[in-house]
Amino acid sequence: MTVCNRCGKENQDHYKFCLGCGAELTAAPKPGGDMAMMKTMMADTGASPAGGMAGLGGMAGPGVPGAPGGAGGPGGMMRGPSSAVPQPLPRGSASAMPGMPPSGPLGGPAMPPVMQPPMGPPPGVPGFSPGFAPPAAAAGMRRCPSCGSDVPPSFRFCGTCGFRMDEASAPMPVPMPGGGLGQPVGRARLSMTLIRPDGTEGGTHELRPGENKLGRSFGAVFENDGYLSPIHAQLDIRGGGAMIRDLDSLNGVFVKMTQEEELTSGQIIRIGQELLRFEVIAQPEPTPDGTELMGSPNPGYWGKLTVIIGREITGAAFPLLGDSSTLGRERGDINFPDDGYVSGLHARVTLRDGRVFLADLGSSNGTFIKVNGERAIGHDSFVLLGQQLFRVNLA
Amino acid sequence: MVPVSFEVETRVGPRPSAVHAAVATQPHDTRTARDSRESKPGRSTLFFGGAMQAARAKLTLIRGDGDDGVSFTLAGQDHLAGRGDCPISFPDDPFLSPIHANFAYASHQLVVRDEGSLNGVYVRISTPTELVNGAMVLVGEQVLSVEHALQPADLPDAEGTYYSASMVRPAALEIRQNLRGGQIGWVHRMAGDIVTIGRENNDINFPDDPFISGRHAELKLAGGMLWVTDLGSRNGTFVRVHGERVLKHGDYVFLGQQLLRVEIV
Repeated sequence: MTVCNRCGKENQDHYKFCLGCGAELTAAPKPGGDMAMMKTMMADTGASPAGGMAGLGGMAGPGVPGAPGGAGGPGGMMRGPSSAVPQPLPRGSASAMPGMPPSGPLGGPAMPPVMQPPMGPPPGVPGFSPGFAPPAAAAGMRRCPSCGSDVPPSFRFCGTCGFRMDEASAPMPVPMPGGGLGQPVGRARLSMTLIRPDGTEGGTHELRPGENKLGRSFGAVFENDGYLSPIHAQLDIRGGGAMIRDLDSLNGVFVKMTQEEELTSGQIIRIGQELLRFEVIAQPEPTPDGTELMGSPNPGYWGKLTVIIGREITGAAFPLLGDSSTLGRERGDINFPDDGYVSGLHARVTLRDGRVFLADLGSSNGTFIKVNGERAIGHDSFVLLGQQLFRVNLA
Repeated sequence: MVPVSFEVETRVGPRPSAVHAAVATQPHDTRTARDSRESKPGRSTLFFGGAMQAARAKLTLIRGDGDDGVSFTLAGQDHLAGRGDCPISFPDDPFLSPIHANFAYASHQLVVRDEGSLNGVYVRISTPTELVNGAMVLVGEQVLSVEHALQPADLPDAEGTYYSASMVRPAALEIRQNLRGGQIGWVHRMAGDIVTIGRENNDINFPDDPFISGRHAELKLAGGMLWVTDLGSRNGTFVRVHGERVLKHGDYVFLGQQLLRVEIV
């Protein structure tokens, strides 16, 4: 149990936000508890969005706080982090400088912030903590001059307000190392943008026309997500559209539904933190010697949703009865009262003319359908890879 | 020593001849029942022994295919029961295998043995009974299976990727509803060590099952062992027999849809 600092409510360990008051919970969560989704009850955004930087491990991971690129280390340039002089220290030391005004970085360094090398921290999986940067990662943070949020050193833009950090710390135009990175791109035209648990945008993964491999081996934004396979998926961009294909990844690729979808037996869906498999309950078939399997009378179940709790392990199962069944946290026919990422009334499964359909009912976090093989996606589609949610920009 | 009444003394069902025929189809049963009345001198020794055995136990049909109340004497050594050509035969019960069970004497005790049937043999419990992992329990019309040795969570795969499943919920027991025809209906995973089953106000409720009592049965996990206790239900709680089981006077046995009461003299 994690006790909320603000209201005192006891929350389950994997909750990131208090179910009572919505405040961010700061206790170290466990693997499996993190979904890169917004909380149904919105978080208190005043409470340091960077603190619970789920899904940003690639940027603010354990390897970062030290000295990105080596140039800003303790012996670097004119700024000595060990100096007792309260000089502005945009990086390389704890950002929580007492009394340091938000505009601090402006007065200080002549050097532009050193860009995070593309490979950044080693893709070290040992000691991996899925999706969560430990609190110590805040050490390398800069403070956004515009809104005061902590911003990881590798970010060119504030994740909270979009303020361009380059401008803040480097008022003079300075040639950027490694041409491509320095291009003044407001938002990449072809890209995937990480959506953080609090709904703000995180890092961006550039895409190019044609074939794009996605996975732990293919970019800083992915490499610390232990729920991503090294080669997880492929996104083929042709013309104005794209096809996303699951490359036999362990956890698959999920796409946020924008309209009703037909379900076939075996389809896997995700709502909140629930991974569910839809199955048809068919009429029993006679056995070779004519003996029927004894059992409880079927009151009219035509399908069921089974909670997947492991690779080969299933948990609770909920039969589907009547014309439709709703799913939710509180107001559905089938409820997940302890899953704070499921909306009160989230989705509906309907039986119509012998076919089964799934529809989202305006949930906060959406209903996700697993991609079987490949699937076309459009501009602004939301794709769930591993534990991270991305918006795909194709326009 | 005129054992005439053992076969039909409690026969009040509408089709006595059917039972008669069922018993009579088996040679050694024919000998014990029929020949005794005709008192053939040459068979008297055989008959005498058979009658003595017959007096040891019988099965009375409590609920089944319209023969309610009839009795089956258990006069020999083995007494096969099933849908096929058995001395204890219920040809119209689709839930019985052709040869379903054997009521046999072993070490001066009557045992029921599952002959590899599809649906198994269930015996009503009278005291708290330990359940093996995956045991099947019959309450009312419900066929439930219970697991208490639940699988642990996954480890990451060979590439170091973690499996992304649903949120972790502690669970001690998993109870499944086995539907007629072999499909699984609902599955409940319960965190507590005690789970009550009944018609209403229990952990698991069956409001529409007319054969389940308000408070029917209780599952309890204690010291790594799982126990089932009947809470004084009207129709009883039955546990599927693994292999064979000794029967006592007054035990009830479910074979398919046939409920039999054991009477041992």
